[in-house]
Amino acid sequence: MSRENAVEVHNLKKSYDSLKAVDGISFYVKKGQVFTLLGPNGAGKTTTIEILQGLKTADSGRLKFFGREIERIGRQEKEEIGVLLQRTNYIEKIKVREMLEMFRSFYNKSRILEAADILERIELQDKSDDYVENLSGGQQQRLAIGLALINDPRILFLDEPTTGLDPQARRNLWDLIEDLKAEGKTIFLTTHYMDEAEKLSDYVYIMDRGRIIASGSPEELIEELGQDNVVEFAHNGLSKTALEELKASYPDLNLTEESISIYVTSLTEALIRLTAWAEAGDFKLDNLKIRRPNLEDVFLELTGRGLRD
Amino acid sequence: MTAITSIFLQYIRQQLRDKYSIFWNLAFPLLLLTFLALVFGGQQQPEITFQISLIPRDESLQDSALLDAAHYDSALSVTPQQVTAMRDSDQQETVLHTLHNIALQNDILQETALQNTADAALKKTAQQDDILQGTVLQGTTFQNAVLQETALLNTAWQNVALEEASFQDNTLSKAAQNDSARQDTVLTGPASENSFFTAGEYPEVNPAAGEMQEEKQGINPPASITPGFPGIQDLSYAAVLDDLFIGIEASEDSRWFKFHRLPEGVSAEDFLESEKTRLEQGERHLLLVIPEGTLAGPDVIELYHRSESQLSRIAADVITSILIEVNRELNIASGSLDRSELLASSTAQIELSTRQAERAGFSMAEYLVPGIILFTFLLSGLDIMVSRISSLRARGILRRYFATPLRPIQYFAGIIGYIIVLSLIQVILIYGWSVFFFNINLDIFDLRFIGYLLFGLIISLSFGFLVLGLVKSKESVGIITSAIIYPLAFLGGIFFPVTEIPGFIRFIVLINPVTYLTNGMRDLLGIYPSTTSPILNILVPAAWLVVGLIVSALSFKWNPGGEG
Repeated sequence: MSRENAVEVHNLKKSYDSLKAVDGISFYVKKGQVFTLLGPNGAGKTTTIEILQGLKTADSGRLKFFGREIERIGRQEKEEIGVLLQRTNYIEKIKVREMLEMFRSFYNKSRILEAADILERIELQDKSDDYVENLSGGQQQRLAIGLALINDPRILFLDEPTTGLDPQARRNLWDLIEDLKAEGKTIFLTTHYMDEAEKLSDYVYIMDRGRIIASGSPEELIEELGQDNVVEFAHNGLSKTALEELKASYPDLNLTEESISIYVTSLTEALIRLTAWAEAGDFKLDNLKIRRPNLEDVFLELTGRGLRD
Repeated sequence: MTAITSIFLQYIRQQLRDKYSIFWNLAFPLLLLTFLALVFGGQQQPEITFQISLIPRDESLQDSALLDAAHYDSALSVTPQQVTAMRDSDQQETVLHTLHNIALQNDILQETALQNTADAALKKTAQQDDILQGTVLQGTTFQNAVLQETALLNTAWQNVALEEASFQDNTLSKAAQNDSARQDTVLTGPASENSFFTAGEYPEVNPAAGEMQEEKQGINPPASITPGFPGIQDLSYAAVLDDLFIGIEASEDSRWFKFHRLPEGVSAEDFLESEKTRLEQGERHLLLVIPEGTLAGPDVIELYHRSESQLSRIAADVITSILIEVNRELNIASGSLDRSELLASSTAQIELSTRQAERAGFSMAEYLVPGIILFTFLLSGLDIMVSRISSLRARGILRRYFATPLRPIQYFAGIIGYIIVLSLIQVILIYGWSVFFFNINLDIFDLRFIGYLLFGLIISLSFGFLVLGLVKSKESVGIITSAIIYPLAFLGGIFFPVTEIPGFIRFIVLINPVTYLTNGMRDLLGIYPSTTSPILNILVPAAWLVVGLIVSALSFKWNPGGEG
C-alpha cells in the first residue's frame, strides 16, 4: 500500500438483514485519479460510496484515509471530503447563494472557498439570487457539485452524478468533472453508464452483487475481452432454428432484448459468414452496426447481463 | 457565521418567505382565538363560585320570631337599594334584604378591589352608608330619595356636601347639587376621613403565611342595648348568619357563592374536620365556624382559609367584609353606637391593593389566551418541528447535511432557536391582538409566568422529539402528530375546562401534561384556580419531558434506510 493512495479499502462488508450489499471488497484510490465503481443498480455501489462518505458504517473491513487507518469516516475526515449524493433535494425558499453560505458554515477548516468562487466555477453566477427550486435539473446538479466543492475537498465522492440529466446537462457535468481532475482533485465516482466511466475514469472497478468482478483502466478492461470488433444487429423476426444455427458458429454471442451482438477478431470473415447465414434464412440484417467493444460489452461478457437490465 | 446561526437564519427566512407558514404560524392562532372567543361568549363571565362551608356550633334556629320582629324594624333600612324600595313600594323591608344588600355591596367592593382600588372602594361604600345612615337617623324618606340619587354618583365631595346639607334642609341639599362651584371646593376635602371602621372591630386577614391558617375573627356584639330596639340582643349568631346566607343564596348574585351546610346526623366537629380536609384539597375556599350564643354576649366567628389559594383569600376577604357590615348594622340597630362615634373611630385595614392579578371574573378571551398560546406551542413543537425534520429526513436533505462535519445537535439547536423566536412572536401577537380586540387584562410579563411559558414550550418540543423518534415514515408523521395534538389540546383544557370529564377519558385528562400546563398557566395569570396541585403542574409535564428525551435519544435516526 502506497502513500500515493487517497483511500484504501480492505475486505469491506455491509449487510442489510440477509442481503449482502457489499460482500468483502478491496480497492484503492490513487491521489489525483478518477476512480469509478461501475455496475448495475443494486450492485452495492451506493452502499460502498456511502460508507466512504461517512453516511454508513461498514460491518467489517479496514479503511485507510490519506494514509491514516480509521474505523469509519468521522467529522475530521468529513472536513476533507466533498459529497454528491445520488439525488440531491433542496429545502424550499432558499436562494442559491444562501445554500452555499449555509454549507460553508458547516465546515470548521480554515481553507474554505468563497461562495462567489464556487458560483463562477459551476457557472451559476447570474442565478445567485434565484430560489434553488426554480433552477433546472442540470443547474441543481451543478449546485450540488458546488456544495461538494465549498470546503475545497481533497477527495470528491460523486454518486451517479449524471443520472436523470438530459444529454446536454450530462456533457456539461462531464466537462466540470474533467476540469476538476485536471486540477488534480481525487475523484471517486459510481455510475451505471459505461460511456461515463469510459470517458472520465483512470481506473474502473466493475461491481456486481456486492463483489468486484474486474478492474483496470477502461482500455485494459476492453482489451482483456480479446475482441477487436462488435457486430450488432436487430433480431426481430429471427426464427429459432436460425438462431441455433448462428449460435453454432458464435457460441458466445450475446442476445439482448432488441439485438444480437457478436464479438469478432476477423471482421471480414465474420461479415461474409453473417451475410451467407442471413441470405439462407431469408433474414434481413436490420440495424447492422460494427463498433469497437466498450465497457458494456465487458460487463455483458462477465455477467451475461446488461448494465441496465 | 456558525452552523447553528446559519440554520436558524435559514428557518427564519423560510418562515418569512412562505405565505403558508405565515398564515398557519402567525395568523391562524389569532383567527382561532377570535373565533373561539366570539363563539364561546365574548365578554361573558364564566362561572366561578366560592365554596364556603358553614359549621354551626349552635344548631338551634329558634329565634325566627325575633328575627321576624327585627325585619319589621324600619330603622334597619339603610342602603341605597333599600331606600329605593321604600320609596317605590312604601313597604317595610327586612333585615334579610338589608343583609343581602350588604352582600351586594361587597360584590362591588370585591370587583373594585380587583381593579386595584380597594381602599377607595371601601371608602366609597363607607361613605354611601354613612350618609344614608345619617338620613335614616333623621327619618325623612324624601331626603333618602335625594340622597340615594346623589350617593349613586359615588363621589366623595357629594357625600361631604350632603352630609352637611342633610342636617339642614332640602333646599340646601338641592343647592349643593346645583352649585357645581361649591361642590368643587368641597371636593378638596380628603375622603379618607370618612372611613368608618374601628380598629378593634376590624378583622385582619393575613395572606402571607403558608399552609392552612386558623384565624379567629371577632364580631363584636352590641356592648349595650338602647331601649326601643327590643329583642335584637336575643338573636343567636346562628339565626342571623343563616338568614344572611339564605339571603345571599336567594339573590341574583348567588352564583358567586355555594354554601355547604352541616348534613343531618353529622356532628359539627366531624363536619369541621372533613371540611378542613376539603379546604386543603382546594375543594373549599372558606370555612366559617358559627359560634353558640346570642348577640348579647361577645363571641368569635372563626374563619378558615388557605392562604396559598388566591380564591380562598379573596373569599375570606369578601366574607369578612360582609361580616363587618353585619356587625355594624347590628350595632347601629341596637343603638349601641351612634353615627358620630362610627365616623370618629375609623381606619380601614384590609389590604386588598396588592391583589393585582387575582380575580374572580375573567372574559372568555382571557381564559383562551393561555390556551391558544399553549396550542401554538404544541403546533410548533409537534407540527412544525416534526413535519420539517421528517420531511428533510425523508428527502435525504438531512443525510446531505450530515455528510458535512455538521453535528446533529447543531442542527437541532438551530431549529429550536427558530421555534423559540417564532413562539415569542406568536405570544406577543396573541397578547397584542387580545388586548386590542378583547380588552384583556393579563399580566403576561410576570417572570414566573414567562418561565412557565418556556417550560411549556420545552415540553411541546420534547413531544416532538418523541414522535420523531418513534415514527419513521414521512407519510404517517402528519397523521400521528394530528392524532396527538388534538386530543392533547381538547383533553388538556386548552379550549374549555376539563374538570367535569367522566370515565376513561378522565384518565387521559389526568396523564395529559397539557392539563397541568394549562392549569399552571391560568393559575399564574390568576384567571382560574388550578384544579391540580402546583407541584404536579411541574412534575407531570417534567416526567413527559424525561420520557420524550430518553425515547428520542434511543430511537431517533436522521438517516433511515438507504439503498444498496
